[in-house]
Amino acid sequence: MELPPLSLEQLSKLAASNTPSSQLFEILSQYETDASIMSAGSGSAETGAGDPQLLSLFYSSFFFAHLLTKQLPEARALTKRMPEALRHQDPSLQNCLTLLQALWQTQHAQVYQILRGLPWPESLQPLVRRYENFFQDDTLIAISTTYEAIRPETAANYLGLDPQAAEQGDSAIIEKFTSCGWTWDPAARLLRPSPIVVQPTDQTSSNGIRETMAMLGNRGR
Amino acid sequence: MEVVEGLMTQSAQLREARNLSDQSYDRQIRENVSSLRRVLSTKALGAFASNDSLLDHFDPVADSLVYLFLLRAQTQAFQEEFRENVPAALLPPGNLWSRIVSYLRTFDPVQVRYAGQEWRQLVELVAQASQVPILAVRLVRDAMLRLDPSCAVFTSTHLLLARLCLRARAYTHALPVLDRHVCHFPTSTPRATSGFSVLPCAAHDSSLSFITDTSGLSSKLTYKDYLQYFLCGGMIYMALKQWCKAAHFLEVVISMPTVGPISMIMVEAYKKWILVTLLEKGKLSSPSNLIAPHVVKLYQSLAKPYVNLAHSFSRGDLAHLEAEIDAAREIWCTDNNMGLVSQVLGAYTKHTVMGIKQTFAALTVKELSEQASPMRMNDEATESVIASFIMSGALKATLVQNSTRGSPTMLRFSEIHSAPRLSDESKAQSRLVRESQSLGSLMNGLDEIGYHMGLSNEFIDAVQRGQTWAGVGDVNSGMSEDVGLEIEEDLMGEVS
Amino acid sequence: MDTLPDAFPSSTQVKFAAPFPSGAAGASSQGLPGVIENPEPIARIKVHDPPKFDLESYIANYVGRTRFNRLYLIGTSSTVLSTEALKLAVAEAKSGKDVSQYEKAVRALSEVAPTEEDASLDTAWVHNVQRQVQAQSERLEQELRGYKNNLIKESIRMGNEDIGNHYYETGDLLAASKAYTRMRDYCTTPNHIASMLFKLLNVSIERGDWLAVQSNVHRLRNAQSKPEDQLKNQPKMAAALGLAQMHSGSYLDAANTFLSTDVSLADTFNEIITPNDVAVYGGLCAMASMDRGDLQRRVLENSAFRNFLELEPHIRRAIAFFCNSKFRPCLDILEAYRTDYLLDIHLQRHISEIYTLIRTKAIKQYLVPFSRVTLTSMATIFAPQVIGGEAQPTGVSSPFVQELIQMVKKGVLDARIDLEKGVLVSNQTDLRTEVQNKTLESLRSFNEEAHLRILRASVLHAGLEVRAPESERRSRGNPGPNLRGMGMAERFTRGGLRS
Repeated sequence: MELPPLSLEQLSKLAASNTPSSQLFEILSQYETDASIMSAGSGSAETGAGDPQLLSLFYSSFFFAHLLTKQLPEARALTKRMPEALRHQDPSLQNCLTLLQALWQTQHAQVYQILRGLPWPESLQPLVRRYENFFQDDTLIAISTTYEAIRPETAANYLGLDPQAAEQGDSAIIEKFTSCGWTWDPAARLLRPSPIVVQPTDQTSSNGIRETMAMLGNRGR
Repeated sequence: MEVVEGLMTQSAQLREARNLSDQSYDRQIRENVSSLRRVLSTKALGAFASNDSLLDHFDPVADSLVYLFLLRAQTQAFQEEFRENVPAALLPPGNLWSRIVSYLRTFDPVQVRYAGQEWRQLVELVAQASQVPILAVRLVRDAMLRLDPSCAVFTSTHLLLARLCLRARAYTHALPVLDRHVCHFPTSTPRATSGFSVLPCAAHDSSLSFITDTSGLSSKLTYKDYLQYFLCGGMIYMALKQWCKAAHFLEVVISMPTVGPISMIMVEAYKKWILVTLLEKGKLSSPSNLIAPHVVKLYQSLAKPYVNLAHSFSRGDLAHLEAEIDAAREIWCTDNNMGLVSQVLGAYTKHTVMGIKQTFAALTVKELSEQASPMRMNDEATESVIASFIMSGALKATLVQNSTRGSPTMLRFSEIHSAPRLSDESKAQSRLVRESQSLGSLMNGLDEIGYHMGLSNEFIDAVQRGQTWAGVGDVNSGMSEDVGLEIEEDLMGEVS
Repeated sequence: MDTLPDAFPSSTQVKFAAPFPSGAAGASSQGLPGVIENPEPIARIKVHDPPKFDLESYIANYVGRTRFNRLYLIGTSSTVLSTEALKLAVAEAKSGKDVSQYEKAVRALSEVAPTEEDASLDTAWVHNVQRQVQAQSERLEQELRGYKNNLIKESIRMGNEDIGNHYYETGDLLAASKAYTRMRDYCTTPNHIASMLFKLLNVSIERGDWLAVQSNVHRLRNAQSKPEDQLKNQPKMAAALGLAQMHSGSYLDAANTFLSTDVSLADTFNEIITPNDVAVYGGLCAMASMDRGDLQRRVLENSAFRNFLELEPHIRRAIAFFCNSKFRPCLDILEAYRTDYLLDIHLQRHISEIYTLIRTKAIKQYLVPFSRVTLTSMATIFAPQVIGGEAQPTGVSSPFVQELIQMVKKGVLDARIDLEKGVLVSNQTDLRTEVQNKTLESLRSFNEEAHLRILRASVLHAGLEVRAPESERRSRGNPGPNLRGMGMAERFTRGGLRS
C-alpha cells in the first residue's frame, strides 16, 4: 500500500479520522522511516534537521498510537528513538514523556490531568481525546473486575471525574456508573461494580486441547 | 546497448520458463544466474552500470533476477567511483536507495534463491547504509519474511535483524521473526535422499531445501552467530517485558551443545536468565536438564552474585535482598543488568502479595502490609499498588472498599465473580491455540531433523522424549476431552 | 549385628564409647554422674504450678538410683516443690554411697533454701564415704585379680559384676558399664547373659545413651533364653525400648512398643519405669502419632493395654474424647496434667512437642467435615483463652490466628484464612481451571523443550557446537559437516534404511 507523503495535513487528517487504532499504528509505523530520514538530514542546530513542527506532530501522534494499542514498553522505546534535540525542546513531546511516566506508575489522576490540562497542539487534540476516552473505558473495565465495592470518590479518581462531587453523591456521576450496570448503595455510600467482560475477538475452536493432545499422542508412535 | 538487449532477452526467456516444469524453470534460472554473474564480473555493462534509467527497462517483480544483478552492478559502480563502502547515492533519499527499498519489498522469493549471495549483500548493504538503524529494520525484516515465511532456518540475516532492532530500539518490529521458531541451520545436504537433485525453485515444505550452506543466503556461520541471535532476541523480549519468551531464548543460549569450554555469551545469558526467571516466576528455576551438570556448576560459579540474589529472593528476605543488590551494584552495572536488577525488587513485592494468597482467602490491605514486609507505604498507596497488580492481570483477587475513608479495604482471593472466569477461559483458549500452532511448527522441524539425521543419538533422545510424552498425552487427553466438552457447553450457556 | 550374644565383637566397645568420643568427655562424665548427661548444658525448664501428685507417694513407686534422679529433677524444675524435693534428694543420696550425687543435691538445695539444715555439706560423711568407697574399690579389684589367677570363670564373672555394681552405686557409670561388659566372656548360661544385659541396659538408660539401650534390647531379644524367661523379660525389654524410641522422637514406634508391653511388668522394673508411666507414655505417644481409627482400635480396644490405662484413667478419657472429636475436653485433660509431665524425668523434654502434635492433629481432625469453619468456633475449642482475653480474638494478631497462619504456611492445614468473614476455608480447587492451566503449562514447557532439543540436534548436525577458538579453526579447515553429528545418520541413510 503506497501512502501519501508524510505531511502536516496528512497527519491531521489521520488524527481526525476514525481509523481503527491498529491501522493507525501501522500507517504511522510506516511513516517512521520518512520521519527519520527527515530528521537525519541537515538542519538547524537547535531543533535538528527536518521540519520541527511536522516531526513533533508525527512523533506525538505515533506515541499516542502506541498507547491506543496498549504498547507501553514500545512507547517508551519510541521516546528514545525521537530526535534527541527535538525531544528536549518540543513541548508536545515533553508532554508525552510526562504522560508516559504517569502511565508507567499507574497514576490515574495524573494521567487525566496531563491529558486535559497540558497544552497539546490543535492537530493532535483528536488523538488526545481519543486516548482519554480509551483510557477511561479501559480503566472502567479494569476496576469493574478489580473492585467488588468501591467508594464513589475512589472510582471517580480512577476515571478522572470530580472526586469531591462524587463524595457528595453527585447524581450525574453516580448515574455514569449505574448506567454500566453497577449498583449504588446509598445507605453504605458504595458502588458495587458489575464486571464488564470484553469478548476476545478471536473465537476459537473449543476442541483445541483435544486436537493438540492427539497431535502429541501421535508423535511417539 | 547490446548487453542491455541481451539482458532483456534473458528476462523474457525467464518469464516464459516460469510456466514450464520445475526442471526447465530450474535450468533457465541457473543459466541466467551464471550469465548475469559473468556480466557482473566482466563489467560488461561499462558505463551503463551507473545509469539509473537502465533499471526502468525491468520490472522488480517479474524480472527479479536481472533487477537484483543490476542493483548490484550499480552499487558496485558507485562504490568504486566514490571509493566508499556506502557512497552517498546509496543513502536515503537517494534515487538508488528508493529503488533498493521497493525491490526488497517486491522481489520474487523463488528466483532469488538462486542468487542468495547477491540478495544477502543487498540486504546487508541496506543495514549498513542507514546511519539511522530504524530505516533498515522493517526492510530487512520484510525481506526475510518474503524469502522464507517460516524463518525456521537460521541465517546471518537473523542476527543482523536482531542487532538492528536493538540498535534502533525498535523492539516490536523484530517479533514477526523472533516469534517463529528457528529450528535448523543451513547444511550441505539438501534432502538429497530421493535419488534426484533438489530443485530450489520447486515448492518445498521446509526452507531447509533451498537455504543451504552453498546458497549464499547466509554468510558462513559460527556458534557465536546463533548464540548472539538468541541473546539479542532475549534482550528484545526483555525490553518488551515478555519474560516467558525472553527466558526461553536465554535458555537456548545456555543449553547449546559444547565441545570443551563454554562461551562468554553463554555466561552472559545465564546471568540474564536468572534475573528473568525471577521476574517471571518469582523463584530460581532449575535450568534445563539438557545442560551437562559440570556446565551448570561452571555457570553458577561464574555468576555467583546472581545466584546469591536469587536465593535471597526465594527465601523471602527483603533486607538481605536489598543488601545483595547494593553490595554488587558495580557488577550489575558492568554486566549491563542494572535495569533488570532494579525490576527484581518490584517483582519481589508482587510475588510476595501473590504468595499471601496461599495462606489467606481474604484479609484487609492493612493486615496484608503487616504480613508482607515489603510494604513500607501507607495503606492507601498499598491499596493502589495491589489494585494495579489486579488490573494488570498478575493477581487474581478483588478489592472491597468500606463506606468510610480510612477504614481498611478488604482484599479477597476467592473468585466470586463468574464473569472474569469466562474471560479467563477465553484467554486460556487463545493461549492454547498459540501453543498448538507453535507445536505444529516444531513438529515440522522435528520431521526435518528426523529426515536428515536418521538415527543419530540426539534424534533418538528426541524420539524417546516424544514417546514418554505420548504416554502423558494419553492420560491428559482423557481428562482434557471432558474439559473440551465442558468449555463448549459453558460458552454456549453463558454467551447466549 | 551379631546373632550370637556370646560372641560380642569388640565393636561393642566402640558402641559404648560412641557417646563419649574423646577421653576428655569420658572424664567429665565421671565428674558429672547422674541424670541424663548432655554434652552442652541446656536451660533448665522451670515449672511454677503445683503438680497433681503427692511427692512422697510418687517417689515411693520407684526404687534405686532413679529415685534420686527424679527428686533432683523435680527439685530443680518445680519452684513449688524445690525445697521438699531437694531435701528428699539429699536424704536419698545420704542413704547411698554416691558422694557426687550428695554434693549436687546439697548445692542445689543451698541455692533455693540456704537456711535449711541440709543445705550445708556434711564433710565428715563425705570423707567417710569416700574412704569406704576407695577401700572397697581396692578390695574388689584385688579379689578379681585373685579369681583371674584361679581361672574360675564363674568367679571372674561375679567379681566383675560386683565391681560393676559397686561403681554403679557410687555413680561411676562409665566404669560400671565397662565392668559389666567384661562379664561377657565369662557368662556360661543364657541367664547370665540376660542378667548382664539388663545391668548394661539400666546403666545406658541412666546415661541417656538411647542407641545403646536399643542395641542392648536387640541383644536381649536374640539371647537364647528359655521361652519362659523370654516371656518374663518381654515387658522390661519393651518398656526400655519404648523409652528409647520416645527419646529419639519416633513417637509412633514408641507408641507401638509401649502398647505391646505385657501387663506382667507390674513393679518388676521400678528402678526405671512403672506401669503408670507405660500408660502415660504409651497413651501420649499414640495420641501424637495415630489417627482416630487406630487410636480406637489399637489403644482403646486393646485389652492388654487397657490394664495399663486403668491406672491412669485420665489418659484413657483423653483418648476417648479425641476419638469422639470432643477436642476441648481432651485438650483440657492434657493441659491439666502438663505440670505433672513437665516434672517427669523422661517426658520433660518431649511434652511440648507431643502436645503440639496432638493439638495439630486435633485441629486437622476438627476441620475434616467442614468446607468452612468460623475462627470463633475454632477458638472456643482450641484457644478458649483468646476469647475474652484478646481484644480481637480472631484478628490477625491473635495468637491463635497466628498459630493457624503458621500451620497453613507450613502446609499442615490445607486451608486458607478468611479474615473478612472470620472463617477458615478449606482449599477446594477449581478442577477445570486447574486442568486447563496444567495442560497449557505442560504444553508450553513441552514446546520449549522440544525446541531446545531440535536446535541442539541441528547444531550437532551442522557441526556448530560451541568450541574453543583453536579447535574451531581446525574444524573450519576441515570441509564438510561435523562427523559426530553425521556419521551414524549418513551411514544409515546411505545404507538405504530410509527409502
